[in-house]
Amino acid sequence: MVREKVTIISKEGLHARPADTLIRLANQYASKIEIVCGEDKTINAKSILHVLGAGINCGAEVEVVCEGEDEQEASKRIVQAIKEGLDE
Amino acid sequence: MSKEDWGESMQGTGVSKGLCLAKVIVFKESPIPLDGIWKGYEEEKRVFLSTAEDIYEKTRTLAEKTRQSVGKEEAAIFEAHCSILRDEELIRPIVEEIQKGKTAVKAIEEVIEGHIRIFQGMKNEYMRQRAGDLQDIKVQLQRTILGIAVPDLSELKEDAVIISRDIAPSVTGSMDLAHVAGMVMEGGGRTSHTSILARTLEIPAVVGVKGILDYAEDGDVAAVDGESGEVYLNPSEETCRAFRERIARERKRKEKRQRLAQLPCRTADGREIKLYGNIGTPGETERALICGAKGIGLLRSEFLYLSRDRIPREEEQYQAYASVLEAMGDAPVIVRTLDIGGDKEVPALGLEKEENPFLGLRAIRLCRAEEELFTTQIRALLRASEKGNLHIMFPMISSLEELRWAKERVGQCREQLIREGIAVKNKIPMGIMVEIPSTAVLAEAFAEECDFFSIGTNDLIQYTLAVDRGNDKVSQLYSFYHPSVLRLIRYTIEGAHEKGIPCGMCGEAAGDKKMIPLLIGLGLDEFSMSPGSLLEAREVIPRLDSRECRALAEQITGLKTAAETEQLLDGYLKKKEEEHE
Repeated sequence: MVREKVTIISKEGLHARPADTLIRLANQYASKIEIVCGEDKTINAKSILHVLGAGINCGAEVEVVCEGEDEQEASKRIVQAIKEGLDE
Repeated sequence: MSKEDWGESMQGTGVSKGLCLAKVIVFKESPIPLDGIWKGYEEEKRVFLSTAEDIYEKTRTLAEKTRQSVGKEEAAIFEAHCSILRDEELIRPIVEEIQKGKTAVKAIEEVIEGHIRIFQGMKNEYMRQRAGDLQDIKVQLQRTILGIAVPDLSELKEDAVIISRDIAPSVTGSMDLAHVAGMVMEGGGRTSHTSILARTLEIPAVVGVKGILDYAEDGDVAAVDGESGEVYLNPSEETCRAFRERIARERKRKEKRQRLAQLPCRTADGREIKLYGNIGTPGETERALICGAKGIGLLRSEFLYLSRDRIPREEEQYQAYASVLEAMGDAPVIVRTLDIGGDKEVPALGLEKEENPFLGLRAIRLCRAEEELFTTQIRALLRASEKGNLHIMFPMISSLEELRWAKERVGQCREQLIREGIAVKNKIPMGIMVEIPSTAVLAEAFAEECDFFSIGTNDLIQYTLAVDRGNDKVSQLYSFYHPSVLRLIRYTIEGAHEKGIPCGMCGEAAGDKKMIPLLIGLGLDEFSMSPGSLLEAREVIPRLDSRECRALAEQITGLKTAAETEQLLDGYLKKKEEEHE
């Protein structure tokens, strides 16, 4: 399992385009990919309903948790993409 | 209240302008029964999964069709539906509920309703719209499973006004839109999918017409004014006549304008005049095209920087430039690099207020002081260059050193991108905005080192005449008819032609009816103006003879005041208009 903390910098938070970018990226990996946001709230990064429903705003600190055969690569790419603002 | 009592007109909110008079189709959806019998886990699960997959396929086709016939933005709605239909966090909980002994229809209801409530409770408008998407998906799944037919609007025999409570995107997406004359809804809002679609397709639409479903029946006649929001149900003969007349007038006007806009624009003696559009955001590209722009003569890049708290990243800029370049195809798109200074509030730049911002650190000067600002923009532009016919234009150039500096930076960015393995178009024309008198005077020297000129009359006038046109006390001194300004324009065009490069104009003077004959006479190659002015310019130009315009330009060179020039140009234009009539 790989865990890494990262701050959301997309201006709109995880809505619209940034959310879409994240979900597309997460679905490219076989690993289970979760985002821990706030007090023990964990969501599935591959689910549009989870990601949008969590209402994560700009400035929030989240933890990306990847588990599975390609967890290293998945974690690296996803954390990097979030740091770059998810193509906002 | 009976039908007669409420009178014939009802008031709603007009959300898409236009007029129509047509037969009514009432679109009603029957409620879905949730009390079916459980046919066992395996069977219910199979029905659910196969239905979800069918609707996924249908929606994907709809997304593709919408992208081609309507546009990317509308297609995105259906792409979002596709993601939801394949969402494991939707599928799994529904299957779990089925396993507990619920029918597929009931399980869908409970799980999706739960999500709808979450989205409805959110403050953000975007999120609340997602509740509508989920509702649409829920109803589609349930109806398909139960075999409840949706009123089919995919093949309409004649033009119709659709009256409904609200129309789901999946319904509008499969509608025979060519025959939808108008849409009237009890619910809905300006930002609902249906309103956006109606505006894009120019279908008259009115929302929020309370109670209309209590009265409207299939076969009624409705007259709709999508601007005022008035809806007439079974209007009187008099109202019908008035509507028919207004509709006919509108149609004629529109046809004439569109016909004009698509023709090449030539003077009476056959010289083709390039008419381009000035735009401030990518969203205005379409309007420029509809108005007949054969290129973009000025894309102001400031929209990316204003009213935001951080500097736009390369990727974001790239997307914006690429979208305009793609929409314009092979036609030239002249992007002006950042033209901003201390007079504008740009939180991201934290610029100091200056005593005299128009003579201060602005545009290319600011870019030289903050090189990263410039290189980020140039990288984004060069990356986008592969998408179309990009031209880069530097504003506020007052010395050759500035032009050389800018070109050198572009060269460095190009090399860097190529080293990174990113494709950049081979030849990208680079030009300057001629808006400072020193540059107009030395036009020939500048022409030797760049690929095109574009005269920015607004600043050229202000710097030549030392007049701030925003200042009421002196604004009457601001005039593009001033002989000194006209002389600088002449120098600039001559300088360009001397060195074999084209010269355009993107200031307001280019769209001024009186100036056009003079500018043609001076040999201006390209006129760029706000899309709204293009149609008027198109009416004027075919009445002009370029040889006659040259003689007019000679005559004007001898004049000494702005008043004399304006009078002469005014008289000339009037004469041409009379000849035409």
